[in-house]
Amino acid sequence: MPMTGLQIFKLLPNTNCKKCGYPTCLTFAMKLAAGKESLEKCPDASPEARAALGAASAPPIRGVTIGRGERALTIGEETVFFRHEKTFVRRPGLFQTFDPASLSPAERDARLDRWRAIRIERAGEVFQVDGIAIVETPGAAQSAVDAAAAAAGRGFPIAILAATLPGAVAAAERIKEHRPLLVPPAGANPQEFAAQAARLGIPLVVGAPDLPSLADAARDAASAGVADILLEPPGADPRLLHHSLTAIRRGALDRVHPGLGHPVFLRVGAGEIERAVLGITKFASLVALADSGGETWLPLWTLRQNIYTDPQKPLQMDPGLYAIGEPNDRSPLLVTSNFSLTYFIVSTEAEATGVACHLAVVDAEGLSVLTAWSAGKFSGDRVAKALRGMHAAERVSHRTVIIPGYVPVISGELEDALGDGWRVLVGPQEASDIAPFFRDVWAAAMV
Amino acid sequence: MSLDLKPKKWAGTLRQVTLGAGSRRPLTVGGGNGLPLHTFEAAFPHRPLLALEITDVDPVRWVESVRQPWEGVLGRPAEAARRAVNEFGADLLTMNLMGTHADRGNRSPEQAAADVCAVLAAVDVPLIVKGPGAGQKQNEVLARVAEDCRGEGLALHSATNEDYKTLAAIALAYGHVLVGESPIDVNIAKQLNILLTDASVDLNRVLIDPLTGGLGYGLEYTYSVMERIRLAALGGDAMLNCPIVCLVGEEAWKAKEAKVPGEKEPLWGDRQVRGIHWEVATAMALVEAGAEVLVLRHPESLARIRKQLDSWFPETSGGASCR
Amino acid sequence: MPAHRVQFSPSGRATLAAEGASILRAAESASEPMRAECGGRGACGRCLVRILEGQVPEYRVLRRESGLPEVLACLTPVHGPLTVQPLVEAQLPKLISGDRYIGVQPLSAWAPWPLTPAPLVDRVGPEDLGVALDIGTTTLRLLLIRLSDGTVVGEAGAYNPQIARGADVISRIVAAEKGALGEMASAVRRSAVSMIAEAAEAATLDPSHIRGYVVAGNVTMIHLLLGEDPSGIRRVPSEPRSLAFSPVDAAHLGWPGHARAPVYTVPGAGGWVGGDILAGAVRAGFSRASEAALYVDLGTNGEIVFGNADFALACACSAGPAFEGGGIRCGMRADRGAVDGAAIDDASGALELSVIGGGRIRGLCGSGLIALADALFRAGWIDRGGRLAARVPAERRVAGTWGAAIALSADRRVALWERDLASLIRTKAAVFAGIRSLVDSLGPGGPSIDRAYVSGNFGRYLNLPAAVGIGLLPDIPQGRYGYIGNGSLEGAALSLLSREFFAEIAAYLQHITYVDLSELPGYMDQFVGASFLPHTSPHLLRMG
Repeated sequence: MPMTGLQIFKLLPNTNCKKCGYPTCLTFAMKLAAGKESLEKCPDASPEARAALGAASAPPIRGVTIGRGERALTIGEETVFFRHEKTFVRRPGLFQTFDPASLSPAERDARLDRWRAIRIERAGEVFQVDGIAIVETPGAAQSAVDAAAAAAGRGFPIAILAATLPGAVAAAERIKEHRPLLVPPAGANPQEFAAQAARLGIPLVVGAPDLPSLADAARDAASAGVADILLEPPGADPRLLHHSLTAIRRGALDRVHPGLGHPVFLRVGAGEIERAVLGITKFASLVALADSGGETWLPLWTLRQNIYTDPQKPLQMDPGLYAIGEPNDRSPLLVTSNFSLTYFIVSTEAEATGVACHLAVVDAEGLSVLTAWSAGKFSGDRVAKALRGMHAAERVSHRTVIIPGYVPVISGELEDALGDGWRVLVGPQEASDIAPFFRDVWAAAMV
Repeated sequence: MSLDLKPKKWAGTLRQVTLGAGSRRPLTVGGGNGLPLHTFEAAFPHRPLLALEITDVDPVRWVESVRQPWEGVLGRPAEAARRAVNEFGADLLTMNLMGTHADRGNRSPEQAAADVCAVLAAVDVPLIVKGPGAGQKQNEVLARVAEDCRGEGLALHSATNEDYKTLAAIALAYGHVLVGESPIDVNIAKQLNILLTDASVDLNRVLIDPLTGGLGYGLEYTYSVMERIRLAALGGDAMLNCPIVCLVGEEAWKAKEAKVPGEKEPLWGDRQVRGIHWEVATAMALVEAGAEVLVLRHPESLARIRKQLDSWFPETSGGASCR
Repeated sequence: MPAHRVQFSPSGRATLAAEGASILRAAESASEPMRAECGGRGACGRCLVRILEGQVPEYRVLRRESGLPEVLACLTPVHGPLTVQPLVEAQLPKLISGDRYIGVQPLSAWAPWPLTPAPLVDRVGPEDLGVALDIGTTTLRLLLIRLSDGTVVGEAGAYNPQIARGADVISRIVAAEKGALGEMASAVRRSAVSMIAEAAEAATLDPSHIRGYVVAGNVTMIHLLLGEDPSGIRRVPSEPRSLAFSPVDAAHLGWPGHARAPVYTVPGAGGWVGGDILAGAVRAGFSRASEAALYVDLGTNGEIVFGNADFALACACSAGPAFEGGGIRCGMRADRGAVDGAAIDDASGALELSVIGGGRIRGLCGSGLIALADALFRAGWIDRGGRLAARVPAERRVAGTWGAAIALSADRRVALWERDLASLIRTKAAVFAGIRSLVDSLGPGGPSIDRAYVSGNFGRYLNLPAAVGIGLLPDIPQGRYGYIGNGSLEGAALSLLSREFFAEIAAYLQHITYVDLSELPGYMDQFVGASFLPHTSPHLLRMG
């Protein structure tokens, strides 16, 4: 169990010496409790403190790195069951399953190049294919080896979906400096694969038909010298898979069995997006997808982006000019902050008035209007700059901007900063007054 | 070494809410005593219900992918209702009275009530009735619908903290269920239920709509609020243990990712499949977070979600009609 | 540059205003209290005045009453001599002066542990005086203390003239950034001089016998007093010019007293935790307590301290001025005519109000607002969100452009509006959420609240059951609560009379850990939860 601020405080020297950079030991203790600092910063921490904090903070789920170089993928190190308890920390990798057996080298390379080139930007993140899961077809081991080399050569992290032990070893040997993930087939001899993974120093997936066997198998693999292990949960159908995923995460966090403290690997076949959704929401750290179209990948990338967003960061809207209803150049122009709740309340009320308008959402770092203003993030200058960036002047033929009623003080500064005959109208304080405001003040102002 | 995975036991239970009465075949939802879908350690007397959305007027803004299966019956609610139940297997329907909105036809409360009555005559499944959005018109429309369809156990969408008294009175007077809507906030959802209770509404006749953010447009906020509501309910909070309804179709199909053609964004793949995937992914994530009534638009999404749910609820497979 | 005489009626205060300066500036320089919530931007409509004599530009005239023009003081320039009458909207009623403190001996009455008399300032003769001054964001309070026997011999109060620059600290920092620092410094210094003169005259004492001053105030107020640039305070992280200024000569501030009488300022612990709070907390005994105590200042900034001798957490919840009558339509300070208590008779259902001075109802003060909200909620006249319920008798209902209200005065002009209740709920939610978040930030199993002190200027007394009843203050056994009228002033007085006490404040501030509520992940959640009467989850009100 993580220690509280007060518990940690009692272990610290309580001298407020400030060597850690914080004004008091209690401030430092609270930062430690929140996981935002490390005990290293306190030069006077006692051995007891180090021991207590060390034990409490070893992650229940180990981290594993697959691949090497710029696109290496690190997964695991999760600490919570519900994302709202804190946050999920390491985005799961989405790998493209690839069976090269029936393809010529040129076709194979063309496929890999196409996947390499995929790049979609969304809300400040770039979506890419995180890695390739090479399928070894029995009897076509060489094509798997070559494909592994071709993919690794393009910088992709690789998972080897083995069919046979020799085939797996051949591919793994070929690209072992690239730290490929070794995935044994169902029913394989676990000790053999573990021995090879240990010898090659590469991560290994451990699977089993039920959870107790899975936990034991992972423990055995670790004893055999495999440093990095992923668990493949039993469950072809949604119910059993959900049960396995839940039990593994819960068991890892409660430290029920050391064999459960590893990231999870999941295979998803064609047309099974629901299985991938279950994996992404329910703790899988690496998902190998058979489908290759954007119609499957885009929703899954987006889902991953959503679920793995830090819930403690304030909801923020993307700044910009939003249309409420169908506004034209004579429609009112309102300004608000990009705190999502503010935006939601204002836009809902504005929409309800039935009067189409332009809503300029200014980057106030996700703070509400008053909070942003008091921290200097909603000044006249800042709003003017934002409006210019959005080309607001081109969307309206009038030169009037309506500011939230809580910050009339910025009106002078905003008028000065906008220049060009712009006039600032101080709007209502409460969003629910937008309707009477439009009716009484705006209509009169536009005459 | 044995694996000691103790099942989690909770103090609280979800309420059971019955939708549909009078000439409806009633359906009950809720009653679980564990985290969503945790059938391995808890009991769930009812499976989540799948609703399809029909509209009183032609929903011209719906994208082609989702209009297509409704070809011929868009804006013809009774016929759409029959198709939804008999062909598409919906457990229940949501009647979206968008035509009563001032900008979309401004249909009168009388017209709305007539439309709802026609649907009630066409099928015998429970009905959720959605007004044109918060305000005076919605209260008038729902009041008239509630009165003309009294005793049918309609679910009236929706009451909010700012405006709940009218709908509370109507639901009580005419024997309907209320949907309480809150803006993705656990406290506000609870406040609304407390206000409703103070206004003599029985929470065993209330559904919570936490406001669904579609995939990519706030899904995770709804997801986490729903998990927190479920945890509070299981912890014994009697003001938060109402079943949750999610308006998935409306939100998912708003996304530009559900609408942009593949020609415009080649990396985004096939638009038709993409749209359905968008709705299915939103729906599945929210089922995992505790949704017990899902309102969808595309019948294929409904079929896919039903198949998933069959895995957890095999004894009760199948929808309102035999399949 | 020509100047014109501007006189205010009926107070008689006058000043020479520069040609073209606004009437609001003239009010500030004349120390004529005037409401200007938007800081003089013409946006709040509060600074309405009637011109009794003289000329003003026609385009500024909003309307005429009996032929006399009415204008907004902040927008109207002075071009000639004027006699100006602030209208009701602009008025800040007189502060309660009187003799609340005269005769008190701080070392006996307020010392949290036995303090031997050892004044901070040098004392020579039996007539020597010291001054304890509290500079609040809204009000100033001053005590004249005889150093030989440590007795309060004079007192005075006034509005902080900086109100003309805005009701809140941020507005004043912004005004300083725009060049008004010098004027604001002069204005508050002049107010102190007036208060000293007033207190000395009433006690027939000579201000030249003043040996020194101890001033307590929030960090911004101290910066403005000393003429120090406050702009760093509102940066993130907060960077005041200093938290502990060295003493300055009284003469430097234009204050009376012996040659080189020092002016000490109580140090602060952070940009948002000032000497005023620190003085109050030490006055309440925090620095020597083994049990954990809570200190809540129900003023504009809503500072909260939770701690004991070993640790102290502090935060500021930006409560807003609701408890001091600000932001409430018919709000006023606790003075004659203010409703300060309310009850609804169970049997008859009648609303009974108690009024300071017993006469005509002129408005609603902080105590009254809290008591009224509690009574209305308990009787079901308002729902838990603060909206009027069906139960409100028809004769009490008022409807206007701003929504619905409950009439308080017979002529229905004084009323409690739904938006006033919304303001109150927001304010009390900020305070309670601050308290809860602060205490919870130590994690579960932390200390409980063994004592609680409430400080503030909201009335003659604090209706504690009502305050707990609406969810403003935690539900703990009533005996654990103590009320301190003005902790800052009392702490300043103790500092003046005991160097040991002053040193204790300086030492204790080392223990203060400032918590920024906007960075606490659970704060917004607590705030929404507390935005309900008494709370969305009432068990959270019980805090040991």
